[in-house]
Amino acid sequence: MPVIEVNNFKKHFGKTKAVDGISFTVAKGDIFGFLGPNGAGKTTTIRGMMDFIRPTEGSIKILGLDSQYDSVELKKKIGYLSGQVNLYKKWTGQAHIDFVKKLHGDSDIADELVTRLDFDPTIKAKHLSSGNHQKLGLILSMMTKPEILIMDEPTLALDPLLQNEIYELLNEATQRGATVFMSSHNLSEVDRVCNRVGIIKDGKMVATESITDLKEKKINTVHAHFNNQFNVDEFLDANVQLVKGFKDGVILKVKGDINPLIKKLSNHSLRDINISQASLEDIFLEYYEN
Amino acid sequence: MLTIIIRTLRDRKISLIVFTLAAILMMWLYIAMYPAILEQSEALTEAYANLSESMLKLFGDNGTLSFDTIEKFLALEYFNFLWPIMSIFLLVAIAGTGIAGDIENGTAQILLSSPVSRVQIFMARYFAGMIALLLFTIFSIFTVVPLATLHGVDYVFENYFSIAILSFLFGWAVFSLAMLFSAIFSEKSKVYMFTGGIIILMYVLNIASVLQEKLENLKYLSFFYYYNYNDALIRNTLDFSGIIVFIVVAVVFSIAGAMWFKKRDIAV
Repeated sequence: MPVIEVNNFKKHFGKTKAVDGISFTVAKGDIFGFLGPNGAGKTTTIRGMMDFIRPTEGSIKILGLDSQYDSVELKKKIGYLSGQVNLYKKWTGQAHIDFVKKLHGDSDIADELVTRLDFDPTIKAKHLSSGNHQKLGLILSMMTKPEILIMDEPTLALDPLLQNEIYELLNEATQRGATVFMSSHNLSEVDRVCNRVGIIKDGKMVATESITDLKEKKINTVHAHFNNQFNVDEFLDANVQLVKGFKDGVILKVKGDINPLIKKLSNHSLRDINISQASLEDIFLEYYEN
Repeated sequence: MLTIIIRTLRDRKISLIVFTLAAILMMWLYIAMYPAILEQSEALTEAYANLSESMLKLFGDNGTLSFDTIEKFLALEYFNFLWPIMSIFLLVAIAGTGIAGDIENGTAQILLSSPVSRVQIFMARYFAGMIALLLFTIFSIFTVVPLATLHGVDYVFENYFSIAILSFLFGWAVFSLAMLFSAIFSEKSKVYMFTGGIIILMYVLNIASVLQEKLENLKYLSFFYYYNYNDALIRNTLDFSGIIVFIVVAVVFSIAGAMWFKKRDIAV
């Protein structure tokens, strides 16, 4: 049973369709990566999930509860990290932690998180660096051991060591049964942390798949260098695109079955050939470009 | 909700203390100078008697202007302009930062992602403002007792209850108007601009209604008409219609503000 169900969610601001009818589900225990270029509708969707904004049409259910009508009940179970962590400048980190603790009224792991993230809670927010801002945001979102973590760019402004600590914390959260929904621009991070992804473009969902399935889309890049004359056009068709041409070779991008191209290449005397599977980044770019 | 109320008051305590101390100091100044004023009371009364009827109406006292009691003196010097303006500045600032300022700074995300309903957030900010208003009213008005005793000035204690009630109701109406705008807008400067603009307009309408007979009915649109400090402080009487208007206005604006805040999109 999915713990997050977004069903035909639309958010229009006048004539602007920020999100235009997206649907997807996230299963319990998933770390779901939500990807898309700037302005694609990621933050609007997250705001809808958090009931900061109300849908023009459609619905969002989290843990079987409506994100709008059961908002208070849901927020007891959700940890939220904004893409831009905003803090009360005159408060210390500890004041923020105490405030959230009182509002949630649950047991918390704030002290453990403070230690693990090497955060000094005695400093006022106005004196914190952007990295420490992010650390405090992470502590506030995770301290109540929420069932659902909704995070917009969780490792933004963090150094690689702390990024690893966050990945560790997210894994621990899922091991105790939590589900993570995170947006990110960092594709290697998504590749490493997430098990499923959703790709949003121009307010519409263009893919919702597991990372493994995405990688099996089989986009290959072929570098071929020839000893004899060749005509580049003979290699190109609907699935084969020319990336770059040289006097003695070509770089080709192949979608799907690579065998027809190999057959064509074998008609020539090859000096060198290199076939590489596309990275996750190439696959996403493929979606964005299309 | 109590957590938010306490935290809001802690965040606003400096401005509340500064405004209250400023009001007390002004009250002290007037009481300290009152014995000297009293000695010249007759001369001043004669001077005021020569003022035109319109000018006297502006002071809201229809020709009975004199300084033979501390209540008459404070009504003109303190409650005519100073107390309303100070309370307006304090309350509009509290309302503006409470909701719109929180959205503008993005800090509203902390409250909105917590298990607290929007109406509770609004009401918590609202009650914090009301507590601030109550404290400001009590300290800025009832300080008259120790200060008058200190300077040997006679006063009528009961009258200060009336002016405190009227002033609190005036402040409540102003605060509710500002909270409505704070629920509507996402920048505190807009709250200041719209609330300030409406209050200035009300002040102008009240003056215009006094100066121009054909504009007389416009006075009913002004809070300042219902804020009859002379009746409350000098005569110890409260106009029932004024009390009703302030209460109705405050309740209607408060409900409208809470409903608007509940339904609106908040992009934080």
